[in-house]
Amino acid sequence: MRIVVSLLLLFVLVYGHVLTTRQAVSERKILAIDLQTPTALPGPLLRLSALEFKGVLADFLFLKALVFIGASDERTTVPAVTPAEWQWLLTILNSTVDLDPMFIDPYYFANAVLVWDGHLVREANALLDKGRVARSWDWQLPFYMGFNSFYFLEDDTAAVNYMIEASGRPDAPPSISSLVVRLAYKGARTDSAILFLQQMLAQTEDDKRQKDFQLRLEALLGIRKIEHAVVAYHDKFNRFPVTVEDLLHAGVIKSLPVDPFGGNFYIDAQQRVRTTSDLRNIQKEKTQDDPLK
Amino acid sequence: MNIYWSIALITFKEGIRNRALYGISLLALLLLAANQLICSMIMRDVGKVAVDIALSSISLAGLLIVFFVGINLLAKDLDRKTIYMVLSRPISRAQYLIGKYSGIALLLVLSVLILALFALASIYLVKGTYPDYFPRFSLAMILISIGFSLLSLLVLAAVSFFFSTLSSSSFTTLVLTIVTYIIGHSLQEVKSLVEAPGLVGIKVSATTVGMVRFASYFFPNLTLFDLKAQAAHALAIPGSYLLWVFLYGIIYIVVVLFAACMIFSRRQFA
Repeated sequence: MRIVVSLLLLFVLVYGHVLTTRQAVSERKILAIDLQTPTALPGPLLRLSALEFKGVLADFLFLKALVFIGASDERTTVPAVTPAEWQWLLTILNSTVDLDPMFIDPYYFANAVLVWDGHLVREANALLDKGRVARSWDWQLPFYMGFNSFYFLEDDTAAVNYMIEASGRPDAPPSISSLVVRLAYKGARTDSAILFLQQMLAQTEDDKRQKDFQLRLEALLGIRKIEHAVVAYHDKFNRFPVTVEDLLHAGVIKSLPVDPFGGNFYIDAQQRVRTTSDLRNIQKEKTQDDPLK
Repeated sequence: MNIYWSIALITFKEGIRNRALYGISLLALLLLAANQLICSMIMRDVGKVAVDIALSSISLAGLLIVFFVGINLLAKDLDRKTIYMVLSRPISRAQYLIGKYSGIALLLVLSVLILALFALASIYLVKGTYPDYFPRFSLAMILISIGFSLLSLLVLAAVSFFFSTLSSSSFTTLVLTIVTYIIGHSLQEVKSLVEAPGLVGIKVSATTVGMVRFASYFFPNLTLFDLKAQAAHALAIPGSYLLWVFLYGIIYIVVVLFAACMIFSRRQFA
């Protein structure tokens, strides 16, 4: 009899424990994290207070950033990450690399997330610059900076300089040298972007990012196809087409490529081929489903 | 030599019998088990993180041993007045102190050896799971880093002995040792800061610079012994650096113990 009572009591207690654990953790989620006050100290002070545990502290700060982004994937709010939170993430990643400037993961992560999702390109490049100096043997960091300068900041001169630096470092893939040559020719931006993206794709292990790059690559290949048609149109009629449909009617293109981001290709006043999606996912805001999948 | 050895052995055995050692080993074991878990979340620099965690666990556990086991072993004799029994025998106070230190040093060496075995096991376990993510890995650097961590623990233990001879309470000794540890790890950066204040745009008076310079000779510069970052990124360290830091550590220990012996010999026990 006593055993039965004890077992019953134990069962009730274990049930209570599981219940309170779950409830307490879910209650915790309701608490708003005050992200306006960045939790990270300035670099030199942080290094000083980390004593001999700088490396491990860097690892834990990085994990914090990683967990935050992982959790934000499950959010249903639009945007999933607020601007204040992006700033917080930037601060955390900066602290991480201040503690251990040779740690590659925060750079890799910042380049993927801050640039593509947070649109903090200049800030990310400033962060990557710390790694470019500290990891003097690593070609990837100047390569990322070059890509960001070219693709987002449209600063070709800076991009060429970074790419020259990247190509001179050990184990740099030879395709970077051809990128440098191509970048030096102003104008062929689409071709350069395609080459750049192919290189980024080869370096990326993250599935989500790979799909994103593939989509952009597809869109850029579409733009290039139309660009070639525009040139052919100009050769044929000695004037520029006004709309992309002109290309179809003139027969210089058999079919119009589809923008994988859901936009429509058009020709702007400077005869540049663009798309209404601006290579951003325009469907994402309309539907709950991720169109990438 | 025999006297030193017997005191050392007694201290060592006393240390082993101290239950705190089990707790510290358990903590280290847990941290090293966490290594596997944490490394599974890292995208690229898995090797770096694995080495970081393993080496930091050794340092942390070693520190706890110095703070809570090492200090107690000497302070207990003073607190419980058992020192009278020892000193009534035909051994000098200096012999007693050196013997005691040797015992604690022996305990530290053994503890770090055991911790190092666990650390290496955890690193190789992670390495076995993610062999492609260890592009820069150097076992030699890891062993050198552990060796210098041990040396810094021995320096800190010597400092704690010095403070023990000054104060009669083990708590004061503990606080002073912790403060020394913190100063020892910030000295390098504070010194470079006050010597070139223009870099961060602050003004520093000449007195402050003088004080920091004096402190840099008085307190042990523990940053010099910290080679964890070099081990984690497998960076080369010139042999001359290792030699000079090794000599610095040894001479610091000898000087501090010498001073401790001098104070201890003149101390009046109430």
